[in-house]
Amino acid sequence: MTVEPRQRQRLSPNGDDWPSCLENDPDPPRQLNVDGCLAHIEGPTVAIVGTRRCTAYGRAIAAEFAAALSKAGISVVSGLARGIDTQAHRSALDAGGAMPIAVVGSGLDVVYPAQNAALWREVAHGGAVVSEYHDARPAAPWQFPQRNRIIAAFADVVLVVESHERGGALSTVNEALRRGRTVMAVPGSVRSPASRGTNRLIADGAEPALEVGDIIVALGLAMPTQPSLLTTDVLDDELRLLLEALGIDGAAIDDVLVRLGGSFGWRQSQLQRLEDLGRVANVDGWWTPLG
Amino acid sequence: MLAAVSSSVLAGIDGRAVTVEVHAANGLPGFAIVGLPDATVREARDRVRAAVLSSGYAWPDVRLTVNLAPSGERKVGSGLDLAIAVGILVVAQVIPDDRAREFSFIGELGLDGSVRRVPGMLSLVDAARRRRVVVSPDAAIEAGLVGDRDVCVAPTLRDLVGALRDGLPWGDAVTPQTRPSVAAVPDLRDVRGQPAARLALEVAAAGGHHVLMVGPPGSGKTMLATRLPGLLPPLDDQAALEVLRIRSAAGLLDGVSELPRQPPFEAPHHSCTPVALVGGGAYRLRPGAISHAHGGVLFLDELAEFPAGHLDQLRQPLEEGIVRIDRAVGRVAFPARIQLVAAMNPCPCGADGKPGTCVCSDQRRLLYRRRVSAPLLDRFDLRITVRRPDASLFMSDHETESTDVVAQRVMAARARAQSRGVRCNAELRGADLGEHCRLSARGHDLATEWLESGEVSARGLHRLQRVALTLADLAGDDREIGEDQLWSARGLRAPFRGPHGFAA
Repeated sequence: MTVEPRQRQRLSPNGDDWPSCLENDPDPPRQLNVDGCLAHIEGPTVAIVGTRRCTAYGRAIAAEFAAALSKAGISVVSGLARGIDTQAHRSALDAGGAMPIAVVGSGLDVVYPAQNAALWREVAHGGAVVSEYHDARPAAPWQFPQRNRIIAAFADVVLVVESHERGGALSTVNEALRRGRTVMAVPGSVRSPASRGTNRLIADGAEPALEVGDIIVALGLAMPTQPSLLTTDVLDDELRLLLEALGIDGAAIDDVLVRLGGSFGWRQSQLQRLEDLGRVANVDGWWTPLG
Repeated sequence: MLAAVSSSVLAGIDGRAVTVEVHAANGLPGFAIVGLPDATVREARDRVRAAVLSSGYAWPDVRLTVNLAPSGERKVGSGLDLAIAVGILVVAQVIPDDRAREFSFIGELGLDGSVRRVPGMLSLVDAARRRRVVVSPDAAIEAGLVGDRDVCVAPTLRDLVGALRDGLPWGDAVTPQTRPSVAAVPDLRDVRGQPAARLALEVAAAGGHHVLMVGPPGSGKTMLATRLPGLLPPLDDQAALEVLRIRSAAGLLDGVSELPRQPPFEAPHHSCTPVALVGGGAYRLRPGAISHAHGGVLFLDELAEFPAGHLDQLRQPLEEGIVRIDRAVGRVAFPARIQLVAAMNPCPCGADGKPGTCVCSDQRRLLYRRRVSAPLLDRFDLRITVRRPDASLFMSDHETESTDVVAQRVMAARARAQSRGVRCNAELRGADLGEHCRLSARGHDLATEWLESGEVSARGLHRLQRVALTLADLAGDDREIGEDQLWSARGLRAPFRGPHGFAA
């Protein structure tokens, strides 16, 4: 299927298409350039934001929440950065429900980061890629916190999946609070540096997002089906034992072999099965439990 | 008066037969060497003259022209000294011409008339035209390794004349005082924990697969690599001769007392030049590290620190087992059948691999990993991550298998591989895999599943099959390749794509 490239739209505050959520904004952009269709913005929206240096856990949660929200007809807003943003866009697109919206920190002709070129095009075709900068503006460090205020303005709920103690995602949180948006955070291990920011947010009063249902409730919507965060399949004893042996922080296959024994190939196949079930993630040979 | 004496010179690591022609003419006395001699050969003039005079023979009062035939090829090295001296003594009618024609002469002369060994004795003797070869006492054992030659020993030029003219007995061979050329190989027992890495090492030894180890500093990559030669089967006669030929030609040996049986282990530093790695040189073509490792292990530590251009030069030799050097001074082929073992850090900061400990950005990790080109990465059948072992495991006196135990299994597995007509499974071609590597019904299903999901490419599956076959050989299993072996093979071949390798 070939998708006709749509005309690039240029919105200004006085135009008919100017998003209503920007009308009373304390710091609105002077103009918006849009590739794609920004119509979803008028429906329910959730911003999924988080660190670029995310862990396998954060990636898995971003994927799960984004997919469930998209299927529930809720648009995911994010920033097309590496890490959490990338995963949120990717999963929302693949779920095939409501299409995601990306607010980027460079001009629309400057794809940044370059690895996301394909994802960028897909978001533009299915949903919308939005920028307040002129088309050829290169990416600059100060532009990313600035575009965060638009992400916050676009979203009904801002969900932080993972954030380091001083992450860029926290600037989105501040902008959201300034605009009276609900801020939610996904709790993580207290040992994980990538969850330090989100855990702190929860301690400071942000609502914890334990499952997708929590977000739906925060939006004031009913959930058509209620998928649980935890997969409900039953593991057989061998796999449960293996999962326990991985501990909280995960382990390498060496540790599994030392702790439980068994042949290398068999353990490898078991770990792979756990990964296929979504219970563990493998990063550079390190198996981390996700459940 | 004309004399023709047989000798040989080195070209690369091979010998080439040379005829030393000496012509004596009336006229102003003089001594010229023609036939593309290099500096060391030209200096033979002065050494030969001094040696002849010190041995008590008169220098012929004639115009001497020495021609080195074939005269179009460059000659290097001092091994022609002895032949030139014999030629001159023939025209001076000290040595009977017909006796001199029975022998080839290879050796350097001292000013006092003593005969000395030269590098590459094995190849030089092998190339000599005559069945009987005269060499120095300390070169006799090395020369004798060629097998089909009569080695005659001449300690000095006088002894040589005595044997040729007066029928005196030849001298006795001397066993050279050699330093052990290779240190004793460390034992696998010293490696604590690391079950996956140990398995990979055993599979590598049994199947001849190239190994890439990725792990933080201090995780034991070098320790593991140095244990590989001990697991490999000892060199057979042919391989041992090739190894000796290379070492001898490179002038690395003080002398030879026996054939080397231990597979070589070469670990060039990442600052080395391309020539040091693959061979070459300005006017004398020398073998590089890849040839010195022939029949054994080439260990490239800090693989990502090697300039990419150097590494890609290894690709063709890795396929062919031979490195061809083409230069203005000539063209040679060095043997280079090696097992490549490489080690690198997962990222520039060298964190220990647990999530969250690395401080590198994804971009830096990606750039670091991309220094190793995809075609080279593809040649590693085994790609494993190595981690620092658990403290508890490290301090325990848990008994681990020694090199001897594992080497036995490796020998048995190699014997199985040889029944397929190859030295090891890594040499099996894709076309032969269908015949030798039958998948069980469940193994077939698993492989199909991997191919269909795109997790494994068709080419990748061939590599997995080779490793699976080696695993079966090690287990002494003659049946079809099953799920367990395929899973192990896959676990031993991590994809190393993207900044985090395994992750997409």
